[in-house]
Amino acid sequence: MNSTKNNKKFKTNMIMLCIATAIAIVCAVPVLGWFTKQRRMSTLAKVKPPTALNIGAGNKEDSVYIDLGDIDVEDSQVTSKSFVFCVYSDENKGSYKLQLAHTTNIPFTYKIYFASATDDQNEATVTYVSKENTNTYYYKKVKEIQGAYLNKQADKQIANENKHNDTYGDYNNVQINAEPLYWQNTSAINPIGNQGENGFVDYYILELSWKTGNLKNDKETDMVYLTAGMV
Amino acid sequence: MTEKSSRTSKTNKKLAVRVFMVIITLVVLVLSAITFGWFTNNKLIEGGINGLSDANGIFEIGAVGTNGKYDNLMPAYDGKTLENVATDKGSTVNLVVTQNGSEIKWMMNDQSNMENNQGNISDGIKPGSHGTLTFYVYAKQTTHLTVNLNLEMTLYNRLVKDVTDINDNSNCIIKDKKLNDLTKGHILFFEECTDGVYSKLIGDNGFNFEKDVEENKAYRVDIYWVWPYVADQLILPKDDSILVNNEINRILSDSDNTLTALFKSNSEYFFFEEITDIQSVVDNVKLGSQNPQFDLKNYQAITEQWNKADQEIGSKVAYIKLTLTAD
Repeated sequence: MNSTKNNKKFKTNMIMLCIATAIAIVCAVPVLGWFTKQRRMSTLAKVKPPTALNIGAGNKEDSVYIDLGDIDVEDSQVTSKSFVFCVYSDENKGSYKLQLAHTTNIPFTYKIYFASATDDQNEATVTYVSKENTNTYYYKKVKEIQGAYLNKQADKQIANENKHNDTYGDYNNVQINAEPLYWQNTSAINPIGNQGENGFVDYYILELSWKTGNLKNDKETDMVYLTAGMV
Repeated sequence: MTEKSSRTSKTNKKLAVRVFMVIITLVVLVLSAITFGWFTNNKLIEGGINGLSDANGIFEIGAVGTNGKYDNLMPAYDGKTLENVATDKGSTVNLVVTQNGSEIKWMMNDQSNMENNQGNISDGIKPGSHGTLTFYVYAKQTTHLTVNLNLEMTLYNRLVKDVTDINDNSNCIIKDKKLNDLTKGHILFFEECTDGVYSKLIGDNGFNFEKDVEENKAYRVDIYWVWPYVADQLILPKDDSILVNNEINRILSDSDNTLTALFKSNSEYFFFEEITDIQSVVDNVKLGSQNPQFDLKNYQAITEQWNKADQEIGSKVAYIKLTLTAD
């Protein structure tokens, strides 16, 4: 009798436990959800890789092939010499500026022109023989690039003191013609030779000219630097 | 009697085992429902057991616009669109909000983006890029609501592909600590921005949204991101000739030393290589280039290491996933 009572009590307890657990679990779920549920929202941004701006020779070849070489200034028939170079990048965005720096031993006049490739040999200013495939490429002047010297003495093709520290720092024992002149084009250039996904190649012609008669091939040399920088 | 008692005891044991099994089954069923919901965001269980928790949530976060340009590369779910939701600014918006605890796509538009909204012609963020990101806290009850918001960046390399059932691009996540630290120090988020002057840097502890909110109303929050062009913008005084000559602006108020303090205490987030004696280097550059004590070498060290860090980020990180977490 007692045993049957206990048995019933046990059954009741078990059923109660079962129900209580079930209720507890169902109640716990929303509460658990309440505490653990974070709201999360994401977006993906692309990072633009740094643009590498390069200077090259004709036919987008390595800049090592830009060769000013020897210039014969005593030939009375010729008063200028032109070279082709290019600015290129694998990216097609951004604008840049050109900088020319040169020493002033020889009184050359430096000019840079926008250039374009042409198949017509007759209208070409510059002929470039590829060092990679020996093909010949022709380039013609399009328009002179406007620019200005940053440190030129008025009326003289010689540098003033403005950029001395940038070039030589504290060192002052510098011969005046070894003080480079810095020239920059006035307004930033948007890439012209856009090749879409492949970036761009812009061609330029650097022209060195001189007045005939007052120059001699007496072993004078000048250093010429071309720089292109993103702005 | 003894036999009977023994039989009853056996029956009770059997019953206990059964009850125990029932309890286990219940636990397993409930857990599976939660897990199922958590990972798959399956709409079938909406309104079910998991739906109960949703009903009890008092807010969601959401945004207005369309999918970002690169969302196909990111494992995230579509949010739930709520139409004509009134905002605290008096307008009504179609809001795409979080649901069921899943990570959803943050909608972008012309005003709110990281140069990744549809139609944006930018091919990615870079030093100098900046913008606004907008999101809404959507109240599901009228109450006093406090929400802690955090931003987290996940870096991906260039090998990412479209996310599919078998590819979530997790193998493309960049785990390198140095790169993660540098990205955190170079792409900055602020709570406020007025006329190009940023304030209230959002750090590791995030920031809070706290307001008396009305049911079914969306509360707009704007945050501002900037990838400074150069370190000068954070350290040199506003009128310094280096800034003026280069036509760049300081992006913090002159009295705001938050970033320079971090330059000193957590320099690994900002500079590619360790700068010797960073404390005095930073203090010296802060004086500005017009100050007679200003040492150009210090300025060059800061600039060089900052730029190298930018270079490192730009050349190795292809995509950045920005996740906003609210709880």
